[in-house]
Formats: sequence, structure tokens, C-alpha cells
Amino acid sequence: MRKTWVKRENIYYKPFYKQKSKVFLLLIFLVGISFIAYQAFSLNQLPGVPTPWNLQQIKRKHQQMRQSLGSKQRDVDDFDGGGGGAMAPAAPAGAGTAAGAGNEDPIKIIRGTRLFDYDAYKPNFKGKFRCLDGTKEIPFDHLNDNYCDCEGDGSDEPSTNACSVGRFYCRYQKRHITGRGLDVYVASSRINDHVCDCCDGSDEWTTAVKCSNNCA
Amino acid sequence: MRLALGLLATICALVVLTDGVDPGNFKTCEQSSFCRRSRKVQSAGSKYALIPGTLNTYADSLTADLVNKENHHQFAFKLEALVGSTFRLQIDEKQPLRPRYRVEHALKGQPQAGRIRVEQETDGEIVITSEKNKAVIHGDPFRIDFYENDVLVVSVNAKNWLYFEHLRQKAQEPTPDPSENENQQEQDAAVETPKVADAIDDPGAWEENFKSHHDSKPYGPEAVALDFSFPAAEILFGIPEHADSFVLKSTSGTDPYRLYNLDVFEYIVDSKMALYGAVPVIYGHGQQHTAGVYWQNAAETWVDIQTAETNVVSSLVNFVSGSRKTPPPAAHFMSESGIVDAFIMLGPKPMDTFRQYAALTGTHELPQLFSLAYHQSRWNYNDERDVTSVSAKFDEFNIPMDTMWLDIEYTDGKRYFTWDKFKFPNSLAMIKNLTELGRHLVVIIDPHIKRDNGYFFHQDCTERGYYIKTREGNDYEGWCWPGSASYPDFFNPVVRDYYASQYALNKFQTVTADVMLWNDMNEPSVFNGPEITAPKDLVHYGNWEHRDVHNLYGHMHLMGSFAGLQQRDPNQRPFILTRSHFAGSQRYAAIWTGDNLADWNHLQYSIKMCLTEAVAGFSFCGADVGGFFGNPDSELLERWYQTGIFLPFFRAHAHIDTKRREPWLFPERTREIIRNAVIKRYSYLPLWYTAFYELELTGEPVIRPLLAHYPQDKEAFGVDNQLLVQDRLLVRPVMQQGVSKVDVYFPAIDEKKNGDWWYDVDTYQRQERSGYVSVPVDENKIPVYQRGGSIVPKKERQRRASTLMLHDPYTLIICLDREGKASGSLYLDDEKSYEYRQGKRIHTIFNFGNGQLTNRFEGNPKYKSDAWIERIVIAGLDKVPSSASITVNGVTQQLEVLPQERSVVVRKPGVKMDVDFALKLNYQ
Repeated sequence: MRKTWVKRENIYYKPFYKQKSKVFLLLIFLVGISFIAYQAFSLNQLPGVPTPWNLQQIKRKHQQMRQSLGSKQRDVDDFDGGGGGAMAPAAPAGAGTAAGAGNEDPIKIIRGTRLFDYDAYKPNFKGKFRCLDGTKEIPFDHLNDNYCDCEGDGSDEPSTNACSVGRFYCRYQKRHITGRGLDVYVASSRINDHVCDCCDGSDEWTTAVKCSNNCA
Repeated sequence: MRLALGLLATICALVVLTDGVDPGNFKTCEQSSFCRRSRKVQSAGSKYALIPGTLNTYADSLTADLVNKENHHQFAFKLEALVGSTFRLQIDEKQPLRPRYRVEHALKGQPQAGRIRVEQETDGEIVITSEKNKAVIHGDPFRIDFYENDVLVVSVNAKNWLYFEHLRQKAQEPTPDPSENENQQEQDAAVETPKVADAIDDPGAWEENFKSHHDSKPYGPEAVALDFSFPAAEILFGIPEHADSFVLKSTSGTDPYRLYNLDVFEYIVDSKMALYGAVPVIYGHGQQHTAGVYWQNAAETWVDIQTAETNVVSSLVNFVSGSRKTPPPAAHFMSESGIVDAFIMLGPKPMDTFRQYAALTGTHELPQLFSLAYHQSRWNYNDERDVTSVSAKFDEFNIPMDTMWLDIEYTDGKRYFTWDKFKFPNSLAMIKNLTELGRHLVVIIDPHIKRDNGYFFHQDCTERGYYIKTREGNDYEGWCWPGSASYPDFFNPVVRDYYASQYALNKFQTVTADVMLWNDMNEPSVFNGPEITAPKDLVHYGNWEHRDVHNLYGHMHLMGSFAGLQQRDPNQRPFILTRSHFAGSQRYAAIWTGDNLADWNHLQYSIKMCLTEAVAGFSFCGADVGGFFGNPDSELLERWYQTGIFLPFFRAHAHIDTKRREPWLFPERTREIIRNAVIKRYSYLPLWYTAFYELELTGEPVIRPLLAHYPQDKEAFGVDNQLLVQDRLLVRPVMQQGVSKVDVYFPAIDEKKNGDWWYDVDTYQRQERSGYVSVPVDENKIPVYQRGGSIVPKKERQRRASTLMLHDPYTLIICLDREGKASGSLYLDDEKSYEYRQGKRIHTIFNFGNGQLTNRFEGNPKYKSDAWIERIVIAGLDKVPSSASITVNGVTQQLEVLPQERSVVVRKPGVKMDVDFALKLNYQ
């Protein structure tokens, strides 16, 4: 076998431990790591804060949410789709008031909203609803009453097509358990238009259209 | 210098070349022998008189004999009174050598006869009355004056330009022996009957050549011509289709307006040349009186217009002669064959006259809603994937779109009723993809039939003799898209039945009942024919010459198509788009202005042309958005969309050689502007739909020139860059490049220049005075105004297609007049079927006054609708109400009122459409 190593007399290789700057940077890096690790461990000692990697707890919460999505949303289905016929203003469909913050109450998410905005669809301290773009505050019973009040973003009508700019978040959301992933939504003009737009057909909830579930 | 001149000449030549059609391909009056002859009468006049003692009067009409005092040929004259201030005048030969063609199928039905009373019958003058109208017939010289309420409004043959070429035998040809010379000919002439005096010496009388085409005229000269004066009028308008201003221009010194259905490639604007359609109806309009004349003749027709145009010469003449009196405007109709068959409509107001014309020839029936929405077309969407992906792109960019169109390339080698199996292997799946989204497909079916022995349609037509024949009795062969082609003779009812049966879904299996129809090239267009159409000596069913019926060919084609679609699905309203049209074609089809050009001029003329079409019965009119030929830049395309949304038929279309121009291929800014425009169109669909129902109901055009509602405003007569949608919206689109403001004309209602109030539909800013107002515009702005005193229904929720908006709630826009009042109507039904004729409809009249809105139904509101009223916008209130209360069936509820900058919004009245309600504004 031929020897590939060639010794060159005129080149001098400085060993790593003699390159002061590199060692210094490495040191800072190690100190940083250990500091973060220390911080993370000390968080555990604070009362009531779940550890970010306590997967059991997160999973439990998601379980609850999913169950509530399945059961509670049926309550919303009696929403009459508009003020038509019944003269009385439609009952606020997403009566999210009942949903307390506590873990014992099942979470009720308004049709067409996403979990991320869950808190925004509760009455604020004045008992009103603030449009998600922050431009306007409207009485809470104007939420989801099939009349567009938040013209800027359509956020007061997540379940109806009253606003031209709104979004309807499909019930099926394909996302990672940590919450990462893109929202699955359709334009609010697609709600109840006799065309299945969400893969689970959740955008057709007053029409007689039979949508098949193509989400998988 | 010479070089510069040469350069200039070259540039000029280039400009001419790029300027569209070569007018030399089409005849001038001078090149058309009958026009030449008929026009000659204008200098000398003619001598016709009633023969005393031949008068017969009946309950609804009178007849008499008429004689040409120069050649003593006799004619039968008939004057008939019709219901609705209309008279019908017919002149035919008393004993023609062969029958002369009388137009069929143009009228809606047999016009309803009125009653006449002979008031006075002295020698040479007969006075008859009918309703409040009077006709005075002068015997010698023959003339008829029509009075509306004792005001002379139409005068027939006042200029003595009546010209009627009776049918005659051709003078014997000199024997073809060359030794015999002109002497023989002269002798022949001398030996001839006393009719030698009227032997027409025009070289084109018995045969005619144009370019390389020969017209054997076996029946010789047979022209008819008559003049109509409008003494109470100041302007004339009508006689579409021409790419010209709304007000007709004087033709002294130019060619007359021509009515001859022709396929004109890259037509030029500001021209009197004939185009695709011919509707021989003309209106004379003055401040007090409007009257119309419908000249029912399907042969080639030229119309000379005499108006008192204030040009330099005439004003100079006036100045010199010291008189300001100008002769009344007049029209001279000159047709190549047929009889004189004229309907005189006496108004007195413009809308009355339009209704009278609609009573004769009908209106477009209420179309399906989708046909009023946005159409996306192109020559051509290449294959199934192309169609599906374009439709998906509209969804991706959230632009509403209702209909995709397929031009000729979808067929198997231009064999209509077939599909290209490679590009469209599974048309039914593609159609399903569209209809599942609420969309429709329109396919083209042209009248030319490929001469291919393997093509079933050609086989059937050949075997059964369904084609138009040549003089020799063979099938006529022309050249069109498929190459060698023949043309079915739609004048034959058997051919029409056969044609209609081809649309049956068991025959045409590759489409569904949701696929609608586009009939193009039905002038007919013949690439190698004289003037790109069929030769005049072809022979039709009933042995009529093509000369007699040319302008009706497209109409008969439409009758077959319409019957086909109705038989295919009797409960669905057909939609057909046609290019060729004649009076009455509006009963079957919508029209568009043909193959226009992507330039600003053509954009401007789209409104002028459609206004003229609308008053001639064709409300359902539009122009290719973006221009058919050429590539529009983004600004032109934006402005064209903004204009197109306010014409009844709204379709983007493009030539095969142009760049693709779907909205998303332009920068985002342009895309958004187009999207906003299309959304605006969709929001006004309830208004368009109501307008079309009311068109069917009353015959009142959907789009109207200003003079329709402001007949007294002289300045409004010539305004043809603005239009009215019913009497509710005034539209003045931006149609110039790079402007930051436009002048909008607000018409006056009386002599004192008082005008209506007009509210900007975007801002509710109010215009209170009449006259021109300069309005600033940005790229998104379309100057549109709602008349104070009107209520406009809208649907402000967006959907991807209009068919999906059926259950969406309505918004009412109430703009108040000076008295604080407003009224308006709304029509709704299932938007698709004929059930509305069985009463399943809701036609509501809304009235606002004294702070209260009420509704009232025309007929029983039998249609069950899920729609409701979501919002009422009121502009023009003096003070802001604190709340509103609505009462339905005795139950009263409080409603919120949301004040806006210049209007108030009543939030969510929530009433269904078939409920009586009263809404009251409360002030505290």
C-alpha cells in the first residue's frame, strides 16, 4: 500500500488548544447551555406551571378539547342561519360564556374558529366582543348572529358567510401536537354554499349537502 | 424632402394597415346598384298618387290603390291601426309578376288590431283617427301625416322619395351573333312595351359584380325605398348595428348607414359600415315628442339620414339666409327587395315608443341568473385540464365567476355536436366539475357544416336536401372554419326541427342540460363569399332568394337553437348568445358587439353600441371585455372590466393569438381592481335580475340613454358615454387612459335646469345640481350614482358563483329625493326554471316616505324563498334616527340604527321576502 501522508517541512500546524479565540467561544457556548438547563429545571419548582415537556398533561388537554368539539358543537347546530323567519335576533350561536377557564369545564369552541383564538371569543371585561383586528367592540350577542359587524376582518361571524373577508377554520386541522402547522380554512364566502370545501365538509352545516370526509 | 414624404407615406400606409378592417372589402352605396338607383330619387323626387275611388275602409284598416304617375304601375296600399298608438303601413305591387317577400317570424305574433274612424274623406285627403292619434292621407302627391294629440310627429313620403321598382321581364338579350350590332338592340328597345320609360338603365339592374363575385340577378331590379320625416324631433337614433355614436349623423356627403349582416374582421369605430346585426328601427326624438318607425324588411338596406347638424356650412347658410329654420330630421330607408312594411310608433315619450316597439317584436325573456353574472371566455380553452384549472384559479383568487366558454377548438375538426376526443376525452366529467361549483359551460355551435361524408350532420343534410341551394339547385358550398362547408336552410321548418332535435341529450350525449349555447358566424359568414357572406342569388325554402332574406338568416338559426334548448329541458330557460341578429331576435338570444379591438376607442363604443341596441329591443347586450383582438395593457383591462360590469352581458373574451389574460396573470394591483369590479357586479345582480323581469313584463329596456328619462334636456340627447340602468343608476365609466377625473353629466328634468339628486354609490356623496360635474377618479373608482328617489336591491355577500347566492340575504339601498321619498322594486324566483310563469315569483314594490318603509306585492308572493333582508341603507335623511322599529303581522320589534358618514344602516330587519312589513324610523 502506498503511503499517502506527506510531511511538509515548511508548514506548521497550530494545535487547537493554542487557538485562544476558539476555545473562548466554546466556553461561552457551554456556559450558556448550562445556564438554560439550570433555568429549565428551576421552572419546575414554580407552583402551577406545567413543564413544557410534560406531554401527558398536554395530551390530556387536547383530548378534552377534541371531545368537546365532538359533543358540544352540536349545541350550535340549532342556529337558524339568519334572522329570517324568526324575527328575534338569532341566539348567539357560540355561547362561549359557559366555557370556564378551568380544566373541569369542557372547552367549547365556536364553529369556524381556531383554537388559537379560543380566548378571544369570550366576552371581555365589559362583556363585549372585540373584533380580532382590534378595530371595534360589539355587543356579545352580535357575535355569530349572521350579520357582519367587524367589517375589517369578519371575525364576529366565524360560522356564517355574513362577512366578505372572513375565514372559516375547518373542524379538521392537520397540525402537530405542539401546535405547529398551517391552519386549514376556507373563505367565509364558501360557508353553506352547497359546495363541500373543507375536506371534512364542516363548512356545510346548514345545507342538506352530504359531504364525504376526504381528510385522511 | 422627397425622402421625408416617402417616409410619411409609408407610415400612413402602416397606420392604415394596422387600423383594422379594409373598407374596400365591403360595398359602398355607389357600388350597390339598388342603393345607387334609390338614392338618385332624392334629387328629382317621385310621383305617386292614390287612385281616387279605390278607397276601402274597414274596422281597423283602410286600403287603396296607389299609382306611379310616371309608369302607371299600380300598387296596393294598406294602412292599419294597431293597439298602442301604432300604425302599420304596407305597400306592395297590385299584381306582381311573382310574389314579393314579406318578412316572417320577426314579429312576436300577429299585432293586435286597433280601431279606426274615418273623420273626413274629401277628394285627395282622408283623415282617420285611432285612439288619440290621427293620420292624414294625402292623395296626390301621396303622403301620410301622423299626428299624436294633434302634433305632427311622423310624415311619410313628405319628400317624395318613395321608390318602388316593380318586378318586370328582362328585356330580350340581343342575339349573341356578333354580326348583329347595336342597331338590333335599339330596335329591340323600340319594339318593347310602353314600359320602356321605366326600363332601368342602370348597368347593375340585371347583374352585378363586386370584386371577383358575380351576382346573377334573375329577377332584376326590385328595390323599395321610402322616406320618413320626424317634424317634432331634433335627433334620430336607432338602426343598429353600427360602431357609431348613439345619435345618428347626417349622411349627406357620406355613404348611408348600411344594414346588412356581415362578418367584419376588426371593425372600425365611428363608421356607418354594416356590422353583424340589422335592426331597422329608428326613433326621432324631440323635447316634447318621440316617435319611431320600424321598417320591416330583411333584404340589404341602406338608410340615409338627414338631420339639421350644426356644422359650419349649415350655420353659414342660416346666417346668410337669415332663417333659423332647418328641415326636420328624416330617414330614407332603401331596401333591395321585398315590400314596404312600416310600423309607425307615435310615442309620445321615449319610453312609450320603446314599449310600442317591444309590443311588436318582443323582448328577451327573463334569463337565468347565471347568464347575468360573469362569463369567462377565450378562443380557446385548450383542454379539460385548462378549463378545470382556470375555474380553480378563480376560486384561488376568490374572484366570482359563473360560466366558462368553449370556442370552436373544442370540436372534432369544427364538426359541431362533436368533441375533440384528445383534448376533451371526458367532457361530462369536466362539466360536472363546473356544475358542482354552481358554474355553467357554454359551447359554440355555428351554422356552417363541414362537408365531410363521415359527419352525420352533413350526411343527413345532404341526403334530405337541408342545405341552402345555388341557383342551379345544388348544395351551396362555401369556405369557413371547417374548410369547405355548407349552410342549413333554417327557413325550412323541417330543417329547424331537425336542428332542434340535435340538441336532445340522447343525441348530443357529451353535454348536460346545464350546457348553454353560443351561435356565432350566423350572418352567415362565408370566407370566400362576396363581402364575406353568402351570395345573394342562393335559393332558400319557398324559392326565396337569399337577397330577400339575408338579414333574417341568423334569426332563423336562433329559432332552431332556441327550440332545441327548450325541447332538451322544457323547464329550464335557455341561454343563447348570437352575433347576427334582426328585429325580434331578442326573443331568443343575447348579443355581443362582435370582434372588437383592445383599444380605448372600442371600449368607448361598447356603451354607445349597446345603448342603441337596447332601444332597438336588445337589452341583453355586451362587449368582449378586454377586446377580442390585441393585447390590452393592465390599465385598459381594468377600465374595461369596470365598464363591462354595467352592461347587461358581461363576458371576457379574447382571440386565439392574444396573450392569456385571466386576471391573475396581471400584477396583484390589477387583479384586485378586477376582483373588486366583478364583486360589484355580483352585488348588483338583484337589480339586473329585477330589470330583466320588468323588461319581459313591460318592454322597457334594461339600460337606457339619458333621454329616456330626461327627454326635455337637450344637452343629454347626445350623451352616449353614460347610461342609465333602469331609472335607478347612472353610470359613467372611466374610458380614457390615464385620467384622474372625468366629467359626469347630471341630466335636468325641466327647462330650469333642475335635476334629480344623485348619490355616489360608494360614498353616498350627493350631487344636487344638473350639468357637468368633474369627478376625481382613482384606479378603483367607477363613477356610478343612484338616483335620489330610488331603492336598489343588492346582495352584498360574496359567493364564487351567482347560483350559490340564491338563499343569501338582500340589502336595500334607499336614496331619498328632495321630498324625502323613494321607491323601487325587487323581483325574485328560483332563477332557473319557467315556474315563475305559473306564479312562483315575488315581485315587491318598496316605498319610503315620512320616515317609513313599506312593501307591497304585485300579485301573490307564491315563491318560497329562504332569503331575507339583512340590511337597509338610507341616504339623504336630514337627521340620524335613534332606532327603527319593524312591524310584521302586528308584532313590533326594535332595530338598531348604525350611523355612517353620509347614510344610516338599519341593522338586520330580518324579514323574509314574502312578508308584508312596515319599518319606521324613530327619533327621540
